[in-house]
Formats: sequence, C-alpha cells, structure tokens
Amino acid sequence: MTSTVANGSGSSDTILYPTSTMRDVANEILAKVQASRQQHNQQWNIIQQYFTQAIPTYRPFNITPSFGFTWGDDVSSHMKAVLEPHAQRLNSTYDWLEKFAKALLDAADEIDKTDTLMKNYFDSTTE
Amino acid sequence: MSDFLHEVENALGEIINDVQTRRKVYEDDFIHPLKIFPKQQVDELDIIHDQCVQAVQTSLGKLFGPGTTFQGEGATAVANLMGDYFDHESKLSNYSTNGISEYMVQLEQLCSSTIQQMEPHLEAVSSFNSSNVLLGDIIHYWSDVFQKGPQALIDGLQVGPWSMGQVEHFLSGQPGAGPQVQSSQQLQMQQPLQQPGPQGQTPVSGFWDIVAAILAPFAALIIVVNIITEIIKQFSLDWHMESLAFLAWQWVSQMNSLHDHILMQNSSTNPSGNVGSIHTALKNEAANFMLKRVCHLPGPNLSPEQNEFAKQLYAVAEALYPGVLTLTEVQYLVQYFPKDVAERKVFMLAELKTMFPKLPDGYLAFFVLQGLSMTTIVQDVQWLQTAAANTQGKGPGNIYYMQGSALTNPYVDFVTAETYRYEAQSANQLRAWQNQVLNGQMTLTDIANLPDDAVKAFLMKTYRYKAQLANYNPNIAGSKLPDGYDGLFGTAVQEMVKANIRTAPWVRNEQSYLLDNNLLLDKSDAAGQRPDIQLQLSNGQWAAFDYTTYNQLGSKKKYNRSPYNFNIVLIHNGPFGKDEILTQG
Repeated sequence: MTSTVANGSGSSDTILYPTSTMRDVANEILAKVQASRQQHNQQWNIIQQYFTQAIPTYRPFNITPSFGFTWGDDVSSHMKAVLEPHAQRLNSTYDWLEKFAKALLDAADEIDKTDTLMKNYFDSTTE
Repeated sequence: MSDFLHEVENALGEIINDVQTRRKVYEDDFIHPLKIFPKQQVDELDIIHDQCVQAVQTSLGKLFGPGTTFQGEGATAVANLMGDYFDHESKLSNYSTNGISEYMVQLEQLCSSTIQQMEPHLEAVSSFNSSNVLLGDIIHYWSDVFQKGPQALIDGLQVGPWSMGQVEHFLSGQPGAGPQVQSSQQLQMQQPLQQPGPQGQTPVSGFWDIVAAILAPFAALIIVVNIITEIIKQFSLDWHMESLAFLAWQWVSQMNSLHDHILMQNSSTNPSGNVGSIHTALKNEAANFMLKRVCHLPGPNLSPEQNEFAKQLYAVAEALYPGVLTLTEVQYLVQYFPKDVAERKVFMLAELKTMFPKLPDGYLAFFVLQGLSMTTIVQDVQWLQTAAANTQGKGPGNIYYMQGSALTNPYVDFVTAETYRYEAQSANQLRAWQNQVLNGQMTLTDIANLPDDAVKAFLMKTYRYKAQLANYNPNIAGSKLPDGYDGLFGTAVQEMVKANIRTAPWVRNEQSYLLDNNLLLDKSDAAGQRPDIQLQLSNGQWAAFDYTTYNQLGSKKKYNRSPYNFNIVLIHNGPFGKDEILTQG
C-alpha cells in the first residue's frame, strides 16, 4: 500500500510512504541479517575451537609458558583479544540492522495507522 | 685436565637441556598455534559482513532509487540513519580488494612473518645438542687454546662451517678473516613490523642469566667459564635465543597494538544511529499534519532564537517525559505564547498527553493552543470520551456524534466540548431564572432587562403560565406544559450558547482558527436547513452542531448528509420533565 497524504495547504511538502515497499525492504534486511548471523556463528564456532587448540600444551616447568611477558601470556589469549572485539563489531552491525529493519516495519504500521486516523479526521461516517 | 673437561661437559649439558626445552616451548606453544591460525574462517567473517552490508544497500535502493516515492520526515530520518550507518561501515572495513578488513590482513601477515622469521632460529638452536659430534671437538679445541696456546691446534680441523684456523683468526681480531657466520655483536635483527630491534635494548630472553646461574659453581675454574662462553658465541646461541625472545615479544606487542586499534576503531565506527528517530520523525510529521492541515493553524514559523528556545524546551521535556511530546508541538507553543507562558504550556501539554496517551499527536496541543486551563481541557476530553462511548440514541451521555467520531478531529471536538460547556451552563442559568420567576423573585422588569430576546420570550411565558407550571408534574397523567414551552426553552439555550461563542476568547483571539468565515451561526445551508452552528473543515466539508433536548435527537438525523461530514447533537436538560438526562461528566 502506498500512503499518500494530500497536501492541504498548497505547499510542496508532499508526504509519500510506500508502506508495502517499506515492509518488503525491512523483511529483506531481516532475512539477510539472519542468514549472515548464522554464517558468522558457524565460522566463529570454528575460531573458538582454535582458541582452545592454541592454549599451550607443552608445559615443561609445569606452568604455562609466558614468553617472558605478562604471566600467563599465550597465543590463544592474544588471538582472543584481537578477534573477539572484531567479531563483536561485526555482530553489532547485525544487531543494528535488525533494530533498523524492525523500526522500519513499525514505521510502516504506524503510517498505516495514521492513514486510517487521517481518514477519520474528515471522512468518518456512521450511517 | 679431564676433570675440568668433564665439568665443561656437565655445564654444557645443562645449558643444552635448558635451551632445547625453551626451543620446544617456542615450537609447540607459539609457532604451532600461529601455523594453525584459522585464516579462512577469519576471512569469512569479514566477507559475510561485507556481503550483508552490500545486500542492505541493494534493498534500500527500492526505497531511495530512481522512480521511487518515499518522501516525508520519516523518509528523511531513514535516509539520515542509513547515510550515517554506511559512513560508519566504510570507516570500519577499509576493505582490501578481496573484502578482508585492514586489521585482519595485518593479523594474518603478522602471524606468517613471525613464523617465517622464527623458524631459522629454531633450526639453529635445534642443532645445538649433546649428540652433535662437533661439540666434543670444539670443547677439546678450546681447552687446548686456553691451556696450551694457539700453537697446540691441529691444522685443518673443521668445526661446523668454519675451520679452526678461521676461528683463531677471528678471535685474534683480524677483520674479514673470521668465520662466515655473523657473531652475536655483528647481527642485525630483521624489523618486519617497523618495531625497534633488540639492539640497545635490554635483552628479553634471560639467556645469559641462565648461563650465569649454571656456571656459578665453576666461578673458580675460569677456564670452564671461558670455554663455555666461547662455544656459545661460536654457535651464536645467545643471538638465536635473543632473537626468538624478541620475535615473540614483537608479536605480542603487535597483537596488543592491533587490539588497541580495533577497540579504537570499534568505538568510532559502531553503528550508533538511533532507530527511534524514525518514530520521532513520524510523530513530528503527524503532529504537524494535525495542527497545520486539520486545524488550520499557520506555522510553526519561528525566528532562529525562538527555534533554539523551542529545541531547548523540547530537550528538557524529553528528559522528563521521554517520547511524549513532538518538537512541532513545542514549536507551536513557543510561537503562540510568550516565552514564560510557553514553558508552562509545554509541561501542561506533556502532562495531558501522559494522561490521554491514545489521542493522536497534535490533538491535545490544539486545545492547549486555545489558551484553556488544564482542568478545562481534562473535563473536555472526559466529555468527549463519554460521547465516543455512546451508541447513537441509546447511550447515557449527552453528546451524540450522529455522523463522524469523537476524539479524532480536535478542530471539531474542541467546538463540541467547549460549546457543550456553554450549553450546560446556559440551561442551568435558564432554569435558575425560571425558578426565580415561579417563586416571584423575578419581576417583569427584571425579565425585560435581560439581553436576549429568546430568553425573555421563555421567561415571559413562564411568568404568564406560572400557576399551570407550578402544578406541573411529568409523572401525573394529564399534567402538561404550556404549548411550545419546551421549544422556547431550547431556543433560549441555543441563543445563550451562541452569545457565549461570540465572546469566547478562542473565537476572538487573532491566532485562533475559529474565525467568522469558518464558524457560521444562524446561516442556512444550501438545502435551506440551519444547524445551530456550522464549522467548515479544512477539506471544504462541514460539521453541523445542534443543541437540543433528548427527545429531539432523532430529528437531527437530517444533517447526516453532504456537505456535513460531522453531525453532532448536544443534548441539554429541558425545563423539567420525564426526559431529563443527567449532565455529563
């Protein structure tokens, strides 16, 4: 449905909302985000397994080798420190897009509702 | 001699054990994890993200692409949000051509270059072991050098890649004649990541500390210390160990730096656009439509200072009443009221909108803009709520929307509520005068001095039929009112309502919408019929208002036709009788 509000004042500020297209676009975004998130999680699961594999296994002194730096320093913790915030950032894209798409759907509902209300402002008849 | 050689071998054995243990730590716990780094999966994260962003861009083309019609404040809010979003995403990705983000490329390069640089050192250290037959020769060589002098050397003995002659030459300090292997002092570290090399820095491996600890028991046997030191130097063992430690340190430093950069990047690129701005824009647009187009209110047209003030007020109201007001409503209030009054009105409107959250944006603002008190507006809305609950002709209330709905169009509802107030007040006043006449408290002179002819006509009839009226009881059969008495009461009420309207502040206010040309009193329509009031709507249609008693309700259906979109009947009590209806509210 296309919501069109007539311009009653004669000015050029026309309001046009193709609510049906808005819903289509929002649903497309939601579907893409859902698929992307799923693929992301699949890859991330493998990366998490790597974090476990990268934990030091050779402990000749019965301690976790630290390579002479911070105690407990290891490749796994450094990889996590780099990859986790990066993955988190990518996820925040999906979170935001999801919120945006839902807001677009809500907006389409809101516009349709306002359309009905506007009709009632002038055209409501009971008989 | 064999004693100190034995000591040298023991000390060297301990050093070999330590070095090989450390080498294995590097191999198993450092290089191996780097070698199994899941590059493909890490790359995939970026590729999936990139493809998603591109797909979103394509989808949005359906709203903003050529030939599309997506216009209005809500559309602008969507465009701004997405513009901001893509701006953030472009800063984040800084993608290489294959869709991998900059920092992930750096991470992968860092890991592969570290592996590449460490492996030669690990190989060199690996060859330094007790099973290396050359080690025995070297020990003997150095024991001879330190005990007998260089003349004791066996000519042509090869130790590793160099001859003993070369070693001797090198040790005697003759440049260019030494072995073709760099010494620990001559070596340059490769600097693949633009980090400072180990030269001039405190060694990070602790290798010499460990050697010193191992050699401590031999402090008295300087020859043991000398031989072992020379052997370490000859194999560049200290350099290999130092290099391994440095490369690990460098990797850690680079990883820490990457971590910091990613955090910084995240803080500056995280999608932060408030998706609620779409809703806010639509509310604003709805309020604007209501006030400007439904209610005929010009504006808002503010000076820059007024606009700034409006924004400040809106921000404060948002903090106190989140999501309740719209900027448009505040702008109207700032335009229509002096600064100090506008501030009070803004918070009054916020309170009202909180009390009646289902009313559309702009609805209550219109009532506030007419200068009514909060109490009056609350009462008006409550009457309208009762009217909205009525089923026509059967409800308990005194306002009937024969056509159209209550609580939708504030331009109409305002006239309904405010004139209903006048109607009720007028009917009460008229009954009070009627009682005074019946009780002899009002003389003919008093009646003559009243301003309205319709009121005078009703009271004159009351005066004339005082005795009949005094005995009137609607519950007794045969008891009846004088002919036309009800009608005179109704006409008097209508006239009093109109008199009130003519002097109402909301009619005479210059900024009011209710000017004479769109509020008709005492005019007949094209069909020759005359509702008490006709109000022209912004779409050119009309609303009809009629003030009457309940038993006249049915006759008002005649206005359920064009040009009337609204036909509103407002019921007042009669002079007395069985059809008395309780006052609303």
